[in-house]
Amino acid sequence: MRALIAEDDLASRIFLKKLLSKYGDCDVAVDGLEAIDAYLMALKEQQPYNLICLDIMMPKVDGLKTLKAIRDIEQQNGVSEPDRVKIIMTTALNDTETIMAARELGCEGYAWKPIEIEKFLEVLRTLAVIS
Amino acid sequence: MEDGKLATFHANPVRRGREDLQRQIAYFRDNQLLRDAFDATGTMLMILNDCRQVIYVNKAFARELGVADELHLLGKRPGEVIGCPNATTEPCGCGASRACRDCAAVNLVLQAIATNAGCTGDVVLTGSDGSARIPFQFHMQVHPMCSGTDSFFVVSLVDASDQARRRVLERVFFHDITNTTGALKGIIGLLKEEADGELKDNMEFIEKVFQGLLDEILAQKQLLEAESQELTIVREIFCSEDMLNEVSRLYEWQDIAKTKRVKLDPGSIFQECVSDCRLVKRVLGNMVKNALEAVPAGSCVWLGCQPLGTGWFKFWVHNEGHIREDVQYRIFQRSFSTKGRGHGLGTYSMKLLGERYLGGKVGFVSEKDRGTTFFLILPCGESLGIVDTKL
Repeated sequence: MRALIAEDDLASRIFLKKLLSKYGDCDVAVDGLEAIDAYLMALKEQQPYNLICLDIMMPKVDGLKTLKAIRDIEQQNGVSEPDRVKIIMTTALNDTETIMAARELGCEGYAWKPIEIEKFLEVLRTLAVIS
Repeated sequence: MEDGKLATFHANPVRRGREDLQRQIAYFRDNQLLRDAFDATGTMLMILNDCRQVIYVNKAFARELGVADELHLLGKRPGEVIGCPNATTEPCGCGASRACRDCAAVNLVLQAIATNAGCTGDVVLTGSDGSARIPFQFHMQVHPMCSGTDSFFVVSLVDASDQARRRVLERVFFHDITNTTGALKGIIGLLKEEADGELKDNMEFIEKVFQGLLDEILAQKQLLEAESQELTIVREIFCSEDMLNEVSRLYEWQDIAKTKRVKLDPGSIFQECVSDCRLVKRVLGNMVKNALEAVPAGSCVWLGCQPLGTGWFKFWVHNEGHIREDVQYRIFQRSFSTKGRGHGLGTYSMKLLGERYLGGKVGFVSEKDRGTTFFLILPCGESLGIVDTKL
């Protein structure tokens, strides 16, 4: 499993990296712009990510815009829905509207913070990102 | 009305003729009873005619604008009175510029004139202080009234700037602090798995401290969201047994529970239901916390669940203490507490969350010889049919 974590909060970044590193390689980005760059770089190196965790509230480019950008790139490259990267939005905001917007833009799941480890891993298993 | 080929990008620019205007102004100027009534409200009030011209402003409004003599304001439009920069971009003044198309204040007045019905909304008015433009946030209400053939519109403004600013700060604060505290708790939890012996025990303790801190933060966040009607309900299927087990362990490591025990009633039912788990846990957690605080060392707090009529069931928390009658009457009031300043949100929030957001019923029974039982009655929720999912 290859994962990208986009988080502006240092502690959240360390936590997710520590959690996901048990299951594979993890890269981190501190904002949406870095996340898009990392995603493109991974494509170029033909080592695409299996999972991207996007925080909704991030500087420069927020989580929703990053999600849209990644889905647009996939569409332009003709990536079919089952093959596209699994994206999970993370948020400490209690904002259902934003979550619904993320659903419409094509995220596979979302996690309210504080993240409950067991539930989080269960969803990754359901998405077949980890076994 | 004064006619003219007047240019506007939005609202009708026509104004009342001088004579007509003076007559309308005189109507309010000469009616002392009305003026006294409007001044007595203490709210910023102005009265507009059907051409959106200011006919009258009360003392609170004049004071807010810093004018000693309000006469020179009369006949102008609201934007011209407060010094809105958009009111000077077109010759026809307030309501005529392109920017006025997106002005919530202009649009609320136009809506009230068009429908002859009251309307309310939040508006941002931009005033000027010398060279600086200052935005003010208000809750605005427009209400029509008639006198003979004249139509007037009472506009009231309640300052919402401080409130709005505070909410933004609160949101950012809770977002950041939840983010960091939750992540720290998660990191400790993961590190704990890699540790042994005393280090593992210490980490377990730190993890629980973080969990308690997080719980306090989330309780405050939920309460503020509930009071400002921003709380989102996330329904899930859960069973009463898991809920009782979880709630019984909430305070096991805290000082209030050090010499006391929380026990589950063995006769409790196994009830599956659909509701917001976090909020149910919060309400029951508050009940347990209050019960633990109410009983002496060595006592026990009981927790249980029992069926009611079709489609309903009841969680309850019992302790041996008794609540004085005078306290019972005020127990659900905000900020009422017998524990001194800084308390009094627990019982208030259980009522607010349990009834307004969970659609249940929160109450208590307290008798000298039988102790006190708080309860939360909930619908089982099977008929809801919809279950929101979350991680």
